[in-house]
Amino acid sequence: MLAEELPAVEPVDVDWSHVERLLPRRTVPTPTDKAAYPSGWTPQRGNPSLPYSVRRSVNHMLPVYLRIMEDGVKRLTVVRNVRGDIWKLHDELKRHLEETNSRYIASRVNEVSLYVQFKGEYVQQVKDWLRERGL
Amino acid sequence: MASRAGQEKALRLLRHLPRVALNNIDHPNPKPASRRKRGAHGGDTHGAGDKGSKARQHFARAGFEGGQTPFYIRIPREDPYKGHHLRWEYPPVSLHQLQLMVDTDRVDAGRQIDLTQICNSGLFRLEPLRRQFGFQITDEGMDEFVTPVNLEVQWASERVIAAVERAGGTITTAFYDMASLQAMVDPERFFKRGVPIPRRALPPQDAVGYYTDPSTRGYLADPEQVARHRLTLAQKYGYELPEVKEGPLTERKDPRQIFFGLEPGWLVNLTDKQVWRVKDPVMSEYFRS
Repeated sequence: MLAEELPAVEPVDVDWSHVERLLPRRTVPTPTDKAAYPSGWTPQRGNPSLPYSVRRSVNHMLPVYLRIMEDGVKRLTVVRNVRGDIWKLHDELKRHLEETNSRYIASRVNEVSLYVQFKGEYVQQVKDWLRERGL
Repeated sequence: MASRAGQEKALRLLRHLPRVALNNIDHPNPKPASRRKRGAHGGDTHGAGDKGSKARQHFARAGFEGGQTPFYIRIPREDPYKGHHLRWEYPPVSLHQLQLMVDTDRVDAGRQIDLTQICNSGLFRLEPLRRQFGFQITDEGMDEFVTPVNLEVQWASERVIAAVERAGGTITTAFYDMASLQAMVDPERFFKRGVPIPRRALPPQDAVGYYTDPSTRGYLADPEQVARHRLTLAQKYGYELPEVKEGPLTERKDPRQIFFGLEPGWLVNLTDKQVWRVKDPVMSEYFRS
């Protein structure tokens, strides 16, 4: 279209904050401190007394995941990004899960990839246990 | 009954034997190993019998049933994509996820949380070209939902509406047509296209009933009716209806508007931080109607 054919325009005085509000953030925000978190999420407080720690994900979530394999038959609870004494965390967590569920739970430790696996579906229990310790 | 010595011998033997498994016991085998028709006893006709079209590889076409109307002609066709453009999807966002987003500051609870704000959080993605016409709020986590929010979604069940209003917030169900959706899902990309903000269309015939109904908090419903339904819903579910003050929790868009503070027909220039509108009276009349 030629410049003469385009419609005439005039500038509009508008509060630019309305436009800025529509643009997304470029980074994940750091959550501010609040009195309560109704969703059950807690920030990482840290626990220097423990010989291990667990690094949160980019979205500030606990790295505990459920892996479902073999068409839903095999379920594994994975705790990733374990730093420090991974075997200590494994032993304590395994003892807690076995006591809570009154059964033997097969587990696995990978020191190279820094994860601990438990056979079964214990994501919520593991997360609660980690939250109690401020991790 | 075996003797003591025999038992002990058996147990000693058991320690060295391999574990009993399917590969070391005699059991029925439904699939015997296939044997190729080769060699002295498999040769000559090689399993094809004597003469006939089968021995000469002159088989009838696949699906032929000896003259009987075959299955693939007898059964009528079914078009897999028939009417697919009418099957609209509303990807779910649960109340638990919403509460989590508010707790972790992924979404601003102080202003209206609409389609754009949910997409901008980076946690949810809407693809209008895949027949996704907005978000629906599901009731997972409705017992723990306590934050007063101003929600605008495309569908919500009665329980969800009750949960949001019990927390002291407001919820509206609004319709956005395809052009408006593509602008809302990624406003930055839309502004870079250099296209004026579209005038939102009214819902189609089969959706008008839902969006004009006060019980579903439709955006075209009468506000007085909506207020009455808020009270009746509180009575139905047995909670005290909190008072909602005029302010960010009650801000609403015009039915033809898609962005707050920006009218349809305006052109946004991000680089120069300038907004333009058309001078022509006919065009501006259309956009403002």
